[in-house]
Amino acid sequence: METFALLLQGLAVAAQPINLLYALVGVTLGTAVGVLPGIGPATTVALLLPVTYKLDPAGSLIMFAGIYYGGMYGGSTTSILLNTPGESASIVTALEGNKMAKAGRGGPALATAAIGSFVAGLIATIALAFLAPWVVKFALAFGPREYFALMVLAFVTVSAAFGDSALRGLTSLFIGLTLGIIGIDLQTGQARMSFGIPDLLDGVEVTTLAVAMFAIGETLFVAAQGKRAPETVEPVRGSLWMSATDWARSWKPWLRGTAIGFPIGAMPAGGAEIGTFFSYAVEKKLSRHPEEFGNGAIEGVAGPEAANNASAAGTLVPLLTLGLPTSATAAIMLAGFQQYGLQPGPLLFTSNPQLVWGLIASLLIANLMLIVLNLPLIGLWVKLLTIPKPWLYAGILLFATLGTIGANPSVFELGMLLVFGLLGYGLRLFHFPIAPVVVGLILGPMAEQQLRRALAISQGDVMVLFTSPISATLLIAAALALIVPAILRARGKGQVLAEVAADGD
Amino acid sequence: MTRKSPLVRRTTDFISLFGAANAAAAATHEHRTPRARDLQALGIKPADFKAIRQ
Amino acid sequence: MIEPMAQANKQRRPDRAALVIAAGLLALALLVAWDASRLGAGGAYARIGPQTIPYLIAVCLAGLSAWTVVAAYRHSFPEREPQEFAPVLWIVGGLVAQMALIKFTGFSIATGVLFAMTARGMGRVSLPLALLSGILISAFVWFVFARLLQLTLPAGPLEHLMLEGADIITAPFRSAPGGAA
Repeated sequence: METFALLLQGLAVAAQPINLLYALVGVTLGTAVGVLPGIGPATTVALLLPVTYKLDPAGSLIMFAGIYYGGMYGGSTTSILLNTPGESASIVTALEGNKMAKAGRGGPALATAAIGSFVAGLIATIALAFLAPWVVKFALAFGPREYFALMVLAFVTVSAAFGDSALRGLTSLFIGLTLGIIGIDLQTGQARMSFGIPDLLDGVEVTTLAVAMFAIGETLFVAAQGKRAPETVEPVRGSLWMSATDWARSWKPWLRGTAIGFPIGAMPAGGAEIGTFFSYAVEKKLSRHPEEFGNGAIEGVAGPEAANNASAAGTLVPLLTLGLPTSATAAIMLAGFQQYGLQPGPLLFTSNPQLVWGLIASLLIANLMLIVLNLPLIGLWVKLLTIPKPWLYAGILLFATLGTIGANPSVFELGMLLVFGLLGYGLRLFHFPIAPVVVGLILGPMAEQQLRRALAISQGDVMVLFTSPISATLLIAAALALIVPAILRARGKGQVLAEVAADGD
Repeated sequence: MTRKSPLVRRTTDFISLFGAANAAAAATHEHRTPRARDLQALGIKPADFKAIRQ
Repeated sequence: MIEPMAQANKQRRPDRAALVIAAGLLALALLVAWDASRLGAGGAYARIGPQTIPYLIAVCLAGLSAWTVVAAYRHSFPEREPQEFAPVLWIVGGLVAQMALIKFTGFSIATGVLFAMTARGMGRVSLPLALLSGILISAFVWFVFARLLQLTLPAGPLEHLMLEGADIITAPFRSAPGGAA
């Protein structure tokens, strides 16, 4: 019941006109970047960080969260109408959605995606509100060693456990950790990895790295792919409204998608994509018309779309309650909190409840805005797709450099932007994941501080990490998260060999 | 081959499905086409997936 | 039967790009270790100081480098798609040009050049048109962010011209209330 009171207080904060305006700007921008290929919510928030640091913290964070939610809505539009997902989390939607659009059922596909996103966003945000105080109570008992263990777990899950190559994930993570030690050591005041360059003493800015990796690295990668076949927008024909059968076939996938997406988002697993694939597979298995899958089954749109929105809300659970980012977008949002001197975590719930609950409540409002913005105005968003690619990417680079120059008007900072942009391109080229670099840069220094604090308390005894049951459990979980997927991968290879052998018989 | 109990089979089904979802998600996250065997495990025709322009 | 065919087609030679990556990781490991070795022990009494974590990172980077060498010999790195480098050079050139110009020409012209070169890299566009629109958009962005949102963006001749222009336009409005008082 306490949660209800807090949520109502939050609604009062979120309903202030200025915060409504921030939310509206956020969801509009979010939908736009979700629709546009090549730029996603992580990039957008990263681009906006430097230009918003003079604005009100609550308002900016509400706007960032709106961008995150909006991106999930917008991505489905291009998936359905163009067979080109604006976001990687909407890729599964394209499977059935585009088939529906080609069969003249684009309207119901867009509708089930939008309403499913709404239902999932609503349920998942309420789940977030009820889960958060519980996690906070648990986390208040955390000391430095527990936080350190938690961060080690996050490192493993973000980089190694869920990617398809532990080697490449860990390499990305350690590049991020290396970038994280650049600058002055907070405890002894000594410069590390700075090589006498004064610009490096403050360390690598998270925003510079994120903008470079996401905006510039992505632009270079897209440019290097050369010309692609021209895209054809599938016109929305027929009614936008879903028939009674559509509703009957959609509501269960919405709920199942939410139930799948939320926990996957809340787990330190990284990315909303897993839930969408999982939901698709579940819907196909449970469907009474499995033969329709591949030819435009509405369940294959409803489930994954609900799952990706629910996992966006799920990601906010560890971020808000523990200060633990589990995806690239969450890592950038953490940077957003930090730029205002705020540290998400249990203490923020007690020290700044208006902000936290205002943010959570604003998600409910943003969700409502998004369905209004997306369904009737769908034609407007489709028009965005007619922006020619050269102008779009030229604009992205304009804003990328604007943010960097605005935060730190030096040629050196622009040079870092270029170097990290090339690094981001190289990582993409060789299929190294990007998110662990950003997470490593932002969490690495925090983990080091916690470890040194823990060991200072124990006077250097490393065993202290294992004498706390919570920290020991977390470290064992981290070890399992590293080892079990490796075994599964090895077994997967074994299975292929077995199948090959069977084929040979 | 030994016959497995339904519970064990369901659990292994779940784990392999989840593993396939993970692998496919990781691949798409990195602009790569997931392996055909992961897609098939998820009930997706690899040809349909290839048709999606990323 | 697809997998073993692919296996058979792989050459005996190691993946050269992966070896280059491994060398880079090893170089980074040595750099981190060398830098850590110069750090004074923060407190002689503390067993963990500012150099502890860098050493740990260096060891892990070296380990990853060795692992990458193994991957290079096993060809376990995924295939790379063919890349077109001309568009990449256009965009990188644009970023370098912006860096070189921004001190002298101000934000709008330097960023306009970046805009035009990026657009050229991404597709067939008329360069003069892209340059003109890039400078105009950048000037507008400069005005919004530098004047209205108080961001410090470098000003050059074009920006000073805009400010003077704005002064002239707004002069009557500003002097009118002043004169009345």
